Amino acid sequence: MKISRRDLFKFVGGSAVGAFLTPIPWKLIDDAAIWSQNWSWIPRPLHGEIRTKFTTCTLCPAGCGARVRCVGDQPVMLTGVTRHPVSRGTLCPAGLGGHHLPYHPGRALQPLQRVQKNGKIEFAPVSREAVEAALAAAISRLKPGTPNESIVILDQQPGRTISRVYRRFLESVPNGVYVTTSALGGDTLCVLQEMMEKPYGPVGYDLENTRMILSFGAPLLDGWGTPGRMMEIIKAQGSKDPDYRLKIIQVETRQSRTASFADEWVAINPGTEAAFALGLAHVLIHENLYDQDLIRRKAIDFRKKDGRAYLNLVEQFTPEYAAGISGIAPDRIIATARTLAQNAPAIVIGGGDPGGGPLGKEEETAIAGLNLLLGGIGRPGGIVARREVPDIMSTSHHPTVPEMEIRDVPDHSIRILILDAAESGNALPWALLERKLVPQGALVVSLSSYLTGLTKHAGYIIPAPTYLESIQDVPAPIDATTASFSLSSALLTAPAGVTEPFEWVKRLASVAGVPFVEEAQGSTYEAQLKNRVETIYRAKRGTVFSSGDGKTVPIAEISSADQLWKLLSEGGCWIDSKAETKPMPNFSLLGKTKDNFERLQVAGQGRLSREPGLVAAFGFILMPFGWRGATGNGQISPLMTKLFQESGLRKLSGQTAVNPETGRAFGLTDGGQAWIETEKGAMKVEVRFDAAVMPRVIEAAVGPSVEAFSTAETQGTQNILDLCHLDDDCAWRVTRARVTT
Amino acid sequence: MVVKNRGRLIFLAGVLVMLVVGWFGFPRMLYQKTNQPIQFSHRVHTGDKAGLTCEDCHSFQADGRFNGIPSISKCGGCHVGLLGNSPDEKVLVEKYVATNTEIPWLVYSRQPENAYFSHVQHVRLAKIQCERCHGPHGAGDTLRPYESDRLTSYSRDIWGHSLSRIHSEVWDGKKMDNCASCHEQRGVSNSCLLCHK
Repeated sequence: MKISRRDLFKFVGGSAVGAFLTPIPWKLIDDAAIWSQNWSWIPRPLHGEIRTKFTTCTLCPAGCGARVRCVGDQPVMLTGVTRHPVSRGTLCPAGLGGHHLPYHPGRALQPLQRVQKNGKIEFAPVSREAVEAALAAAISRLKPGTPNESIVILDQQPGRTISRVYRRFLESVPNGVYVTTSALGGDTLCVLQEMMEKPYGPVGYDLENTRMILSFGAPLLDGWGTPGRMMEIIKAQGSKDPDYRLKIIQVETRQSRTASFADEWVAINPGTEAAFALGLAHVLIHENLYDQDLIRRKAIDFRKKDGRAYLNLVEQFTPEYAAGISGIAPDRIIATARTLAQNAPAIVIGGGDPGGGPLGKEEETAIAGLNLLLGGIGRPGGIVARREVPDIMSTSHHPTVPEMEIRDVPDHSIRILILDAAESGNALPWALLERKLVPQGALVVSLSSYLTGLTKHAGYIIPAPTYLESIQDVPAPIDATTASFSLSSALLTAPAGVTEPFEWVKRLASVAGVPFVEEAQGSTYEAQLKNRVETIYRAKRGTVFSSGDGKTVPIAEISSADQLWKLLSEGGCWIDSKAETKPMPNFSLLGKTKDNFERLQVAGQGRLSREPGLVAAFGFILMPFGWRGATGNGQISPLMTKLFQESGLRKLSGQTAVNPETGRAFGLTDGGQAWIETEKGAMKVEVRFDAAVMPRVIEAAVGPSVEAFSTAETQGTQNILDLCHLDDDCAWRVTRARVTT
Repeated sequence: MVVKNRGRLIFLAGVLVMLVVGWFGFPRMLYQKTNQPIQFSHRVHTGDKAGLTCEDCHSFQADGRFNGIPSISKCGGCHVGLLGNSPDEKVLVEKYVATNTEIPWLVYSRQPENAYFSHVQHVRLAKIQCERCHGPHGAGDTLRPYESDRLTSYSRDIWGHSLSRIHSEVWDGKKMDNCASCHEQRGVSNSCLLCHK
């Protein structure tokens, strides 16, 4: 039988029809869909035993406990630790994504050197030895006793054991200066300590017992301090008598989340915090609502014969005068001052915004002065003393190297700048650091794990292990009322190309031939941490929380320092006992800075009064803002950034908000593009209309840049901070700007 | 007559050939069989001889986490030495228990990464018997070969043994439809986020 071409087609046709009566097409469609979801390069968590480990988050200084769900040894999920004495079961969004960070696309995995290639800035691999040799040569060129030729280590999380190591290293080299950044949440406390005639020791906010918080822009309900602590305090208010519930008044130009949720939002004019604070002080004094006994006994400059006393300063800031500057009606200033006095104990907190930066020293002095007038220092519900974490280095050796905030470092004085890897979670403009560097030949070395933020300006990068890759200690958060100490364990193996900062400092000291501490040279970082734990154990103070079982036991019940080490390395936390009330020394309400009276007078006029000539040319006021932990692209999970981008919950880099009437008057459209121009440069941004924005103000987000995760940030991704004006006191809160389409 | 219907017959032959290929040849081509590392007898362990229950080995932790397949230390608890004369037990003791090496079991019911399944919610809270999903697995004397889909690498148990997905047994098939229909029968939510977290 001959098979024709027609027969063949009929057979194939029959087969095709038959195929639809078999599982072949249906199963293949299903399999193809599954196959496309399972490419070989899609990362998959390991299969294995589900384990729970505990550690402490080091992404900011809050020191929150973290419960780590692991498959095998691979962390796959982070959550808060129930009953943790510091974080109270909470972990912020940045902390929840912390286990993604070792796989951050901007991760630096080997020493890098900044080079210029074809007109572009790039980072090329370099040997660690070459970096050490370059630094050693630069150190050898430093002339001892020349203050404008300093070597600085910038530490954004002071108080750690590595911080002590840095200070010891800086003592061994000429012109060493240990530098920290502004600790938003603790700035008022730092200024308060500076106002004391004698050292008063560390202090914290007794938020649990206070009845009222007057906040000057601090994001109290949006990641401030230790977020879990604040959330627990707010949660507890529901069960309280309405008359005794915590009252929060937020003094802030922007309608931030805290302003939205506060009992009152006082929308002051940009940069006029000092005027408002001094106006409140005027009312408190004139209506005898202040602690007269304390002020009479302790304040050294409340009254002075030279006419430059605190009283003389405050006299000028009548409610009407303060209202003219701050934009708040005199009646409201009076009412706020009365509410403060009636709701004792009350706390007044400064600090500022994580993106908008700290308030100036003068604003903080005026705010700290309110706390002193209210007499809340050393009293329950006010600002109370805590003890230091026991530390053998603090008792056996008093550091001689100066410690100062970066804004206090003289301009053009840093020859060598070493940036520690830890971040504070708050913005720090490169322009601020650049102002402090010598104009020519400065050497910047970053120990950051990520090629983002300030690191992209560094000449060399010696990447440190990132979160979860090395053991670190976590001291008490700056706002805490009791000292605490915990450890962050190494749950992952660090990549081969990264270097533990302690080891690197030792190597650098050896190469540079500086006499670094002998006991450190032969030691490991873990041994240093064990020494610190042993010192805490010997002090026999406080209690220890065990994350595994959620129990807290007195340290006296811990059998040995090794057992304490084991508990802490498994995510436990040591909490100090309450400090005894200390007698308060005399204090200066004007602060101890030179020309304090005049400086406060000038600050009281508002920040924008310092550049009146720019009003005509620049009709807008640029106010940057951000959220803690996400003011840059480092230390934030790129997956979380994508989530926020899609949900629109937070504004990202390049997004701004203006008042609709202002926007329309200047030809802007909601959702359209515009150029922001300042004296520093111009940047294209997306504009959103928001009726809560003050007229003539443009609020610009200092957030992570989505593009920066997919493109090399070294190519110069622009940041709104690059446009901000740096005042003489290094604040960048308000800048005159022009907005055009 | 034959000549008259020749075209139709050829067409039907094509249909028939494809039905045979589709229903009998295709499954053989699609699935790859692999024997388990050792032949484990559930019947010996759960029967009168050892008297164990499912949960004795496939246990829950105090916090509700399911341990899944027991680790080798669990096996080693009884099989420190040989208890019988089975060649597979000899392999167990010498190759795995003695060297403290985990047995590379091929898991029939392994769900894909994007599906979250909590044993404790189904077994403890909903009181569903193990057999509802796993069938008479616990009564077998041997372990059947593990069949993996060459395209997806999924276990054949997920699609179910009948390629038509017309299952004679309730436990045959562990795809989303199977989960959803059981949830529907029991009046449990079928929200996406219940399983795809």
